[in-house]
Parts: sequence; structure tokens; C-alpha cells
Amino acid sequence: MSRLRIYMHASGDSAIHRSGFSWTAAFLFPLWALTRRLYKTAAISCVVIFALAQLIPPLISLIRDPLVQGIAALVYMLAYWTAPGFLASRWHRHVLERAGYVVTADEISEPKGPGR
Amino acid sequence: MNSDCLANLRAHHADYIAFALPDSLTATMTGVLLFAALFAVAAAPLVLRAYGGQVRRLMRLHQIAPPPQAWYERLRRSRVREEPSELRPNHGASMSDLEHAAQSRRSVIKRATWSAYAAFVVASPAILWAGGSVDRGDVIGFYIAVPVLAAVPALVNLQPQGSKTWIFAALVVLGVVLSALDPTSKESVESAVFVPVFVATLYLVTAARKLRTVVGVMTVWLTPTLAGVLAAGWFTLPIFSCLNAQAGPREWALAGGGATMALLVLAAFVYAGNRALRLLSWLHERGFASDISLAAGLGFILLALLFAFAIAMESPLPKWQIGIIASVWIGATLSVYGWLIHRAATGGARRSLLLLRVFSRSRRSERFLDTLQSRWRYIGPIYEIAGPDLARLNVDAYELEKFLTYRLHEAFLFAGTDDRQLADRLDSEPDREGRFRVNEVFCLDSAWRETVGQLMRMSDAIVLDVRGFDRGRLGTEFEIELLARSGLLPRVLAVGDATTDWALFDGRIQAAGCVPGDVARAPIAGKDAVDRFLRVLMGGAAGQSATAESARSTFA
Repeated sequence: MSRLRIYMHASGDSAIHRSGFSWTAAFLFPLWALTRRLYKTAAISCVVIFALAQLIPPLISLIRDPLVQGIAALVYMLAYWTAPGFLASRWHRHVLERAGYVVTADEISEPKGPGR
Repeated sequence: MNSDCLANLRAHHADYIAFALPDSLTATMTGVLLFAALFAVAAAPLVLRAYGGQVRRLMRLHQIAPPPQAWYERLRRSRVREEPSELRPNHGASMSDLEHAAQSRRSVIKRATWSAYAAFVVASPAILWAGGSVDRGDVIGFYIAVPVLAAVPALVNLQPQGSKTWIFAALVVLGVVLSALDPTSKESVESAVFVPVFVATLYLVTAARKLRTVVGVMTVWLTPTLAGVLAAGWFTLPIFSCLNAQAGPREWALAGGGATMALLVLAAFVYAGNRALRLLSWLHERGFASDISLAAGLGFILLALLFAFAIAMESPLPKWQIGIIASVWIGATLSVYGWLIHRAATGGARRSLLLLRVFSRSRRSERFLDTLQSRWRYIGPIYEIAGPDLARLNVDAYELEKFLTYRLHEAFLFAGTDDRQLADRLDSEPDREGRFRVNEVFCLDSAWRETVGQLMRMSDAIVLDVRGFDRGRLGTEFEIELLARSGLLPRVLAVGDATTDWALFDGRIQAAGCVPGDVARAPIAGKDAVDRFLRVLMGGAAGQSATAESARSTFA
């Protein structure tokens, strides 16, 4: 289960952070980064995605054994699609904490809203 | 650059340039806008669902450290309207003052709306004239369709909480009539698809209570974004047309450069989309337009563009000229509305209403609260703690902008705050057209108890909807006790039905040391229930009598 937190900076800026797997990051990592205002991350991820798409397929094609080649391709594909989804929120948290943001509000386990 | 590339560019040069000429640019932009509206219609239910989910999750958060002072200063700076210095200003005395002021606000909106409708209908022949020679059947169809379809946004602006069934029925009848007028048309297949899609879009943009704000706002947001996709393709076409099939260093450099340029162009248009969204939100915040008139205005714009688009397909005139005629048509309609509203701006008596309720997802409950708040908007501002039940119903351009830009938490109160900071969050002044706002106060779990107490003290009348109230409703129990302890029961009208546990209700009041008879209570029965509730609440709010006494005489 993901967990929601609000981070705040002394300058009054704020950000919302959701832990756990992110489907947006898994499929569209640069877009995910832009929505979190991680502009540098978005730019670098565009370059990395472009470079990986050019570098990895030729490298995999160098493997002679078809079985190993298939496994390598599968591992690459799995990592390519799942790693951003799993790592995105951790990266977001790391960037926020490094920039001096602190947790101001956290999710409680028992919801008790008005009128419930 | 090799000779193939140059030859390629020369061969497609004329088509490439033609795309940027006013004629095709007008047609493309209209098409983009209509496509954005259709896309928004398809995505709106999902966006609204996600919005409701986000609100529910944020409501569960608890403050663990106080926000820095800079946060409050930033919020105060972001306010675009000044609020009165007093928290509970006295703007009038008697109930007749209130009734007169409400009636005068309603009349102004009614007059402006029907005048805008008349301007739209009267100016419509101009677009037909631009179409050149049109079949007799099409002309008759046009003159039937324009007044009927234009009545949809007009009625929505006058009766935002009602008329949906009538509107839907009228649209279906219109579709049948138009089909009967031209049963053997060659375009009957296109019409069979186009007309229902068009009618459904118009209905969802203007009349569908929950979706209309989302569809309107998303259309404004998506139009520049979709235009950006086209622009990125257009700008990078010369680069990609120079690519050879064989991948070499030159191809990689070109492809990389082209992709970067496409991303930059797209980013610029997405930024423009965000600014357009901000502008819409600003117009709403400034009070130039309410959520209701925004939906109605977008309805008129959509109608004019659809007629212009259909006419332009057959017209001998250049499309950019039809675009100008359509713009003048839209401009005239909106200007008439704006001018009449501006001329007849009303002040006068006002009273605020606090809406407390058991959070219920039932449509019946939602409909009653919607009708009540829609009618009270002519009397004064409405305050309510945002909850999962009404959050999706009352979503406005500002809240949606915050949600779409991932900043919805900025609309939330983190913990109890002082009265001044709370008042900074509220919009107690009427819009320029005279309607007051429904102020949803979004609270984290750590904020709502203190905030609801402040809202109780700030409000002139309080409705407590206790339908479905039973032992599990701890929040409502807290609110009843707080009302009793604060001595505010004379301002309260409790609304209940067979599902209300009145014994528990009375028990909570007694536990706070008060007498259950101090609170007015009324069942929801009869078609005029809302009228009677409004009279009771106005009587109480105007200080004519305690709400309980007023209720006793009204419901006797």
C-alpha cells in the first residue's frame, strides 16, 4: 500500500510524495518527473532512455548463444519497464530531502473524516 | 545535407507551406479544439474519479510539523480578491432585504442570459450566409437547431441544478426532427454518428452536473497540448525528411536534433496549456465568471464552432473568413452577457450558510444539497467542509487546476488556524454576475475539528443534514455536540428522514448540556421542501427569529 506525505520547504514551497510503485513512472518516466517538477531528472531521463534504446540492443545482439540472448533481452525489458516504477518515488523522496524539504503531513492508518 | 534531401524538401515545399496558411491553420485549430473537447469528454469521468480519490486520501493526512510561516504568506499572496475586514459582516437587516437582494441578483442573471441567447440566435444567420448556397432542408434544420441548442447553455446558467431531463429530452427530439427533415441525405451515415456525438458533447460540456466543469477545463488544457503535437510534427518534418534508411552518424545526429526540437516545441505548447488553465482559474478566482457561467459560455463557444466547422466544409469562402465570422458571433454573445452583468451589478443584503452533513454518496442526498446550495448562492456565500460526497459535485476551475498540476494539497488546511487565515481561504464576495461561491474548505484530518467550529461561528445559518445519522457517524456526533456547546443551536436547521436516529441526535445535545427543543428540525417531504427550508433559514439568518421558532411556524 502506498503512503502519502506532504513535504515543505522553509521558503514555503511544498510537494506531495507518494511512496510505492508508480505506473506513470513505469510507462512515462519523463512525464512523471515533469509532474513532480523534477526538471533535471526529466531531461536526463530523456537522454538515458534514448541512449539505452541505441546501446543495449546492439550489445545484446553480440551474445552468441540464443538462449542467453533471449534471457538477457527479457531481463533488460523487465528492468526497463519495472525499475522506474519501483525507484521513482524513492528518487523523488531523496531529491526532496536533499533540497531541505521536511515532512509536514503524513497519512494516518485509521481514517476519521468529518461526518463518518 | 545531400541532394536527395533537398529534392525531397522541394517536392513537398508547397504542401508544407500551405499548412501554415491562415485557411488551413483555421481549419486545423478548430479541428484541434473539437477533438480536445471529445477527448476531454472521454477522459472526464476518469479524471473526476481520480480527483475524488486524491481528496479522500489527502483528508486522511495528519499534520506532524507546522508549515513554515512562508507557506501562509505564499497562500495570502496568491489570493486575487480582497476579503472584507470583518469576519461576519452585517450586510442588511430584515428577511425582506434578503429576499429582495436575492431576487434582484436572479433577475440580473436572467436578463443577461436571455439577452445573450437572443444575440446568439439573431447573429446566427451570418454564419449561414457565409455558407453560400445551402439546401432548403438544411436552412430549415439550421433555424430549428440554433434556438433549441442555444437554449441548453442558457437554461444551465439559469437553473444549474435542474432542467437536465428536459434538456436531454429536447436534444433527443431535435435529433429526430433533424433526421426527419433530411432522411435521404447522402451524408446520413456521417450524420448518424456525428449528431449523437455532438449532442452528447454539448450535454456533457454544459448540462451534466458533475462532468461539465471537468470537461470544460480539460478542453482548455488539452487544446494547446494537442496543437503542440501537430506543431512539433510540422517543425521537425524537414529534419526527419532528410533521414536515410541506413543509420549512420549523420542520421543519428539529425534524429537526435529532431527529437530534441520536437520535445522543446511540445514542452512550449504544454506550458501554454498550463498557462491557459491558470488563466481560466484566475478568471474564476477574480469573479469574472462562476463555474456555472463558465460551463454555459463554453457551451455557446462549442456550438458556434461546430456550426462554423460544418458550414466551412461546404462554403466557397476561405475558412479563415468563416473563422472570423464565428469569432465575432461568439464575441457578440459573450459581450452582451458581460455588458449587462457589468451594468446591473448588485450589492445588497447577504447572509452566509454553513452546510454540515453526514457524508453520504446517495444521489437523493446529493440532489437535495445541490438544489439547496444552488438556490442559496443568490442569498450569500456557502461554507462546507469538503468531503468525498460533495467534492466531485463542487469541483471548480481552481481546484481542478491544482489537481491537474499535482498541487491539490495547497488547497488543504493542515491544522486549526486563526480566523484571519481561515477567512483568507474563503471567498465571501459575490462573483461579478451576483452569484456567491460554494466555499469548500479542504481539511487534513488534523484540521477539520477546529475549522468546523470556526465556520459555525462565522455563519449566519446552519443546515445540518442528518439523513443516515446513526452510531457510526463520529464526525457528525462531534459536530452536534460542538454546536450545542457553542450555543449555536438557534441558528441550526436539522434535516432528517426515516434513516435518522433522532434519539441519538437528542442524546448528543443533552450530553452537551442543552435542550433538544432548541434545534429546529424538519423532514424532507413534498416538492416545496427546499422553498420552505430556505424561508426558515433566511428567517433565522436575518435574525428575525431563532431558526427553531421560524421552523415551527413554517412546518406547523
